[in-house]
Amino acid sequence: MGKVIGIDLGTTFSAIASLDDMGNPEVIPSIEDNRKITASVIYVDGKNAIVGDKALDYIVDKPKQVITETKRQMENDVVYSIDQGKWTKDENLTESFTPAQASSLILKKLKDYTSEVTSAVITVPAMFAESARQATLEAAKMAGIEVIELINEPTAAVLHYASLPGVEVGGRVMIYDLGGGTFDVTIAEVKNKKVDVITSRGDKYLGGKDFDVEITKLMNKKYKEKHNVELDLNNNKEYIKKAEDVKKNLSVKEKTSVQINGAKGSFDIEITREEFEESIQTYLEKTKMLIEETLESSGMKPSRISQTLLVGGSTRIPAVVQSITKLMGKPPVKGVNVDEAVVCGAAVYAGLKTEDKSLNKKQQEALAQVELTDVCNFFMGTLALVNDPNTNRQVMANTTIIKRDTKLPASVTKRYFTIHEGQEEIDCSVTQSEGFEDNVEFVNVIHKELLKLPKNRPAKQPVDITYSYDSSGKIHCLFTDVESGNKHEIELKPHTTKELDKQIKEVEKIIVE
Amino acid sequence: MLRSIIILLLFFSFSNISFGEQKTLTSEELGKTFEKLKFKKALQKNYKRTQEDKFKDFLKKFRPFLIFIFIMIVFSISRSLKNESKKEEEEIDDSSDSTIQKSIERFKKKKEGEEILNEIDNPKSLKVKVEKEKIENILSYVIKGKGIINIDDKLLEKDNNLAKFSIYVFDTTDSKNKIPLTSNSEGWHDEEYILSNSREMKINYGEGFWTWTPIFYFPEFVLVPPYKGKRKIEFKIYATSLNTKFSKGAAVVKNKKIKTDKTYLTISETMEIQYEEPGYEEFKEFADDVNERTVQLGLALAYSDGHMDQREINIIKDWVDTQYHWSMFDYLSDDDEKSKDKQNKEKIKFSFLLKNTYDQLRDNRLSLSGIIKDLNTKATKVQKYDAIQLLLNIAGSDEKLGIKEDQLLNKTARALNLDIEQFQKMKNTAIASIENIEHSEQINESVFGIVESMSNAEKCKLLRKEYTRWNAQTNNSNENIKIKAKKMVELAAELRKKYKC
Repeated sequence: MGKVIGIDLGTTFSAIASLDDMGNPEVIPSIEDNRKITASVIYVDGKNAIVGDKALDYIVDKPKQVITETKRQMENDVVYSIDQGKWTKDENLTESFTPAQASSLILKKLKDYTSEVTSAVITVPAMFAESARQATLEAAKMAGIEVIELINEPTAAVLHYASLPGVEVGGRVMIYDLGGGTFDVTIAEVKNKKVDVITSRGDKYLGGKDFDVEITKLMNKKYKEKHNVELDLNNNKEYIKKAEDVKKNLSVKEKTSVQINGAKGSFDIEITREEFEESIQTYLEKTKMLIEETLESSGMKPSRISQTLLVGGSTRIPAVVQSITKLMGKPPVKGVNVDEAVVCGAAVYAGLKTEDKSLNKKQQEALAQVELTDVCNFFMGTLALVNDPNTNRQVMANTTIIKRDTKLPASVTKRYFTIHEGQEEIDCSVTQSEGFEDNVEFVNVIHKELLKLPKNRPAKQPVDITYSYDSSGKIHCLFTDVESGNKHEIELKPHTTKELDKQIKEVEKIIVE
Repeated sequence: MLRSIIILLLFFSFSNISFGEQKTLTSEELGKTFEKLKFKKALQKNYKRTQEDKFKDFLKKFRPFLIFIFIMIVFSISRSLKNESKKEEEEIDDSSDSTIQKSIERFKKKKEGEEILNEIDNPKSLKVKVEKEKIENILSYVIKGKGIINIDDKLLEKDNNLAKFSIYVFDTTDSKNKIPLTSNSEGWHDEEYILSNSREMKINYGEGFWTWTPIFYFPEFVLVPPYKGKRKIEFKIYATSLNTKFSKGAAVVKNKKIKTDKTYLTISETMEIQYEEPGYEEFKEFADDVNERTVQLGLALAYSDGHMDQREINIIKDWVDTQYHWSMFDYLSDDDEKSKDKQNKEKIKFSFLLKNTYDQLRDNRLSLSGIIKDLNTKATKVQKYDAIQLLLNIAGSDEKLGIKEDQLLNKTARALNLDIEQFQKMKNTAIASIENIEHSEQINESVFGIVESMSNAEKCKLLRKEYTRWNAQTNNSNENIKIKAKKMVELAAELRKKYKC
């Protein structure tokens, strides 16, 4: 019998947790250094890979061989080139890794922290696009982990908060999840251990990593003031590592100093908390905008939010807490380890999704009261010809089938009609967008195929389109020509293509330390 | 009362008669209504509705119990209504502080209940009314029907109990000259481009609408009378045999003896509307003026940075060509030879206009306010959006957006009284494909449509909306849009910081 496992696959740190015999989530530490969180950093040397904090040791001497921020690339069609030392769109590279391959190495490392890891719940940012979710599933497959379900990070976190004994969480709560690479804000209704997610918003390019970059800019400015020469920020991951240390220090101190090596030698640079906070103001402004938008879209004012729950390492920054306090009118709750909330929630969710017979009595009791309802984080639609009232012309537009924030599981059927007499096929496009969009340019077509229709029919033949969205965010689409019964069925899941098999074989050859 | 309504709803569903007045309708809801009435043809090719097939199957299975259920329901309704009216009367008697208004309301409710029961016993012939409502968020004229569709069964037999229902719209402001309205909007006209809609419907004995039920609708934008101002509009519904043809909005019955084409019933409703835009006759009259003003506006935008790029001029030339191919009422135009002649003349005229306007711009003699005033008088909303789209295309044609171009765009959209949110959406689409946006604080504000007259709170809210819009595009599969979106997100955040939002 496999263990009940949850995995937080983060931008800067990753973690693995399981349910203990009492049904409580427990983060599993690394065997080597007993640390509960593992740096999402990979050092690659031929057929060997080192994952975690030890990989950071190579960031100064062999920076090109160190892969970082993989999660931010999950939705992109890129590879990490060891030769170039960066993520690139170049094809036919001799030594390269897709984001899914790189993530699979991190998953392999986490898997080795304990035995009997066969399946797991893996967390993803709420606003992770379909392509990024598919890449995460592929990464798990490459690592030999069967994914029970993907769960949104803020949802996992609130589930942990709600199921935690001794922490009183209730009413309408806001989950403020500021991690290393992404920011999510979620509003949920919590009653006892029952969690109903109402809505989520997010920024995929906002996190602690961006703050590190701002610190490197401060370092550069000060170095230039002293030596009149700029630091080579583009090609030195060492500065980023030092910036991260500065950021951590400034969360507890008013100022800190760091030794920087540049073209004109080394120099001790002092950075104050005030300077740092000023440098990240635009990022904090983004978090404010997302909170305002989330509140407005759910028709709520800050006063109606009973608690703000913090998740993610970047919430340790005092300016973050001050910003939340000012906007929400009360300070956020500091009840749990912000680095572990997501992975613990994932383990709880894995327990919920595990058959009772695989759980002991205590585990069953602990999970008996826990319930979760999530929502669809995207508008799902299809492309169709519609009348544009502004131009009075027929235009190709995106039409919505499932609205954002629809409770999951959901299934919606809408009827469309053929356009021309004798039309022999229709376009089965599945679109996804974060906001309501009719503009074809502004939606992602995540699947496109044609449905063949019978010949010689008049126009206006009905075609039913059904989208079903299960609680884990898996989408099933069915295009049916009503008269003939011809169907085109789409299940969005990782494809067992030759390309994927090839990638799996490549990863299998790599020994992960 | 609620119980009664639920029972009534069940009753009408079982007996295949629609019930339930809807205030805000979607095409889906309309679809449901038609489904209940067994309409064979689809509502409109690009609109959607849900299926009720499963429910129908369920109904079929339970048909044998219908009579029993019917008796039970009528009994329940009568008892329920009687009980409620009795209870209400008692409440009025007991309540010493009840107001006259409350009594009137109760009287009305009682009256409504009686009317429904009365209608079940004495159904009236079909009558129609027209109301303005939103369908799929588009303001529309909704034609609703109520009453029994009285058509002789024998007449319907040859078409397997099917009848064709058609609707035409006439301008009857001049009672001596009834004008059928025209349309070139796909799906909203017949073969002669007369504004219409039609569908086949199976008619069983005693079928009809027990309450005001949507039968047809026309989006407001497809209904264009000949002239601006107060107009009388007649909506005329025909029920005919399936092969009956129409000409200029009237049924053409060719062979009265064999009755293969026959009009079974006609019914109409007239409403008065205040049409604020130029009508189609005025559209034709002003078309050239509007096109000329639009071209001048385009040239002004192209010249706003002090010089004119050939790519910008090409966009204007292409637009002129498109206008004379896409003319809204092309189908009324002369034969090909004459059209060619006309096109040549237009080309000469526009060449002269381009040269003349360029000279005016160079000498700073072109009056933009005059152009805007003319467009506001003579252009339809569609033409104004067309003009703005042209300006956006020109702005993006040289792959960079300058502050003067952007400011002129914003000013023009506001002066033409366009919906600013819609304009901003159009602008964002254009911005997504423009490679360079001039670097200055002024353009940062202008590109989001911020104007000085806005309060700080308005600016902050607008920036938040724009941030949200662009943030959603940071995972666009089009790399150019993604890059642009990331830049716009940064700009919005920086401005929010500046305004201390």
